[in-house]
Amino acid sequence: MTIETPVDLIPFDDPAFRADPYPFYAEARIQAPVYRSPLGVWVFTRYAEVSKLLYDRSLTVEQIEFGPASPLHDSALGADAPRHTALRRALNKWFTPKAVQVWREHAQRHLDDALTGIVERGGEFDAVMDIAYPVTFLTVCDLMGVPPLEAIGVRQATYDLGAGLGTNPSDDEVAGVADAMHWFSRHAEHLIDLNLAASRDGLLSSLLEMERLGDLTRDEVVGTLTLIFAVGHLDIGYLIVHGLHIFAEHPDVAAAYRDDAALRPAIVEEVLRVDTPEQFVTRMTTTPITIGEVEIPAGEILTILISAANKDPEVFPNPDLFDYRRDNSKAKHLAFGGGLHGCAGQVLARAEAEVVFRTITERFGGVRPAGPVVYGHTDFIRSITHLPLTLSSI
Amino acid sequence: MTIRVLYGTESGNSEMIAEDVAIVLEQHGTVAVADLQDTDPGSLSPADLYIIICSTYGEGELPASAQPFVDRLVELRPQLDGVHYAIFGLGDSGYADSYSKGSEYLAARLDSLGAVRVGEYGRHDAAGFDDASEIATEWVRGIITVRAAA
Ligand code: HEM
Ligand SMILES: Cc1cc2nc3c(=O)[nH]c(=O)nc-3n(C[C@H](O)[C@H](O)[C@H](O)COP(=O)(O)O)c2cc1C
Repeated sequence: MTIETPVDLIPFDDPAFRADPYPFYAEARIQAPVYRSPLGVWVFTRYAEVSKLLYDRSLTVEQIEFGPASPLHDSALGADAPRHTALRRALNKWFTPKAVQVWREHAQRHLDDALTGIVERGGEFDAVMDIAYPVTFLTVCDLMGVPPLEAIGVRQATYDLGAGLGTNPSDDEVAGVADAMHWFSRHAEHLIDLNLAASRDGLLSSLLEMERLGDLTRDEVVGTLTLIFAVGHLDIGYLIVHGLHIFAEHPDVAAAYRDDAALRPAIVEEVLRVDTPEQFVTRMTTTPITIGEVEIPAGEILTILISAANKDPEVFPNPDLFDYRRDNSKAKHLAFGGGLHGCAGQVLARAEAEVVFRTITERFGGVRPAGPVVYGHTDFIRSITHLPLTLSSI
Repeated sequence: MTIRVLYGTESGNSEMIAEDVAIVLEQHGTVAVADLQDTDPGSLSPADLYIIICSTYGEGELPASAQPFVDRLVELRPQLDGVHYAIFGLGDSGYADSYSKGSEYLAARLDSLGAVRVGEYGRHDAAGFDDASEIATEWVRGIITVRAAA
């Protein structure tokens, strides 16, 4: 196993890498599956190591320097057990399969509203701004029990935050994170004031009640609210947009989705596997660990590429092929992460995707391309920023 | 006899499974579903059959809704001779060291107080793609068969 090589196998900043990182991952998987990048981080590309590291309780997120994003240490995402357990507990009951049955109806209502407008305008739309964002943002506001204020501000702040969470953010990106965090905390405080004035049922009220009982601090309420604002629309938006993109390019997939309810979950999982929205999760070692033959000292940053694990041919033969009939009995994809920090919103994410995909295929027979697609990939996020489509049956 | 389905959950999967299992059980008698946190360990009766669905959370710990029940069980130490129960544990084998330890702890406490385990220990592993409800409903059919043969 080579560790240091002259050529950077995973050039995170290279535009060619960002446009299509998968050939780079494939090469690294062969040459150095445990790779020490020139950035000084350890990079993992094989399913075996990635899935194992997700469950390694000796790793920390709490001790990682988040820089200007440090308020996220006051959310589940940035905390270790036992603090993590409490912060995660504050969220869990809002995302249970039973609770999600209610949010599913909300998502359907918001989608129906969006589609009414689209049909009135002749059936052409931008999947990002006309469907994915309003449906997911409005639904998560309902869940939090907050009015859907500052939709564009939330979106911008989330992007600025996401851009700065890459492996090697520029000074501008770091400044963008600082501004975004500041914006989120002001927005959260404003919503808290509104909630205290006229309590609405929802996640925010329950967090404030926990604060009143001394179980959470105000910083933890704000950190959690910021986290839910961001994750409430970001990756789930990409799942919806990637799925609609595939429907537009491969009408047979849209038809399969419409005609065979039994295939629907597998189609969604394959969308998540083949182009995983969040490319990696980050951890730090607290004691030396040995991975394969490589010893990694304490205090090292690990860039755990769940996206590359999802393309490991050992586990997913012919990995770049979108094949919803593939045999997944060997292992499941890791798009939602795993272990302690495994996605808390996955039931909701799958439900929202199902609402959109089912409605669009059943009511309109799918979608057609209607213009050039604009990408906004970073090393961290696979992003489509503009996806013009037309409803098929209009 | 009432078949009492009791669930201990953190993120709602066990609750959903308890409801799906209850639908199957309704063909075999009177069924009542309850959260473990709303169940008094002193009320467990040899006249009923208990079907317990419970996950694991934290570092091999009990899920939130099972904790108060087990705390009281340990405190009250009720005599459970002749109390029959079957148990289905949800977990994630990615946690190699603590896989399903929460429900196993609950089962061990019941056993130590004299309760009688019926049938196989049911399991769902979130590390795979298996549908938890399918596995659990199949498992509970097996429990009913074992019980009928007893
Ligand atoms: C397709 C959509 C989604 C994907 C691919 C996704 C992916 C992920 C991943 C990879 C993580 C792990 C981060 C880490 O380990 O450091 C995560 C964590 C999380 N996700 Fe999601 N997510 C999605 C949707 C959602 C939604 C809709 C919500 C809620 C509204 C949500 C809430 C969370 C929360 C709260 C965490 C932090 C959990 C913790 O640290 O304990 N996610 N998600
Ligand atoms: C923070 C966290 C910790 C967990 N710890 C364990 C564990 O130690 N052992 C285990 O087998 N499963 C563990 N799990 C997996 C859960 O038991 C599994 O997801 C189960 O389906 C949850 O069921 P529930 O929704 O009824 O609580 C953990 C899950 C989370 C989110």
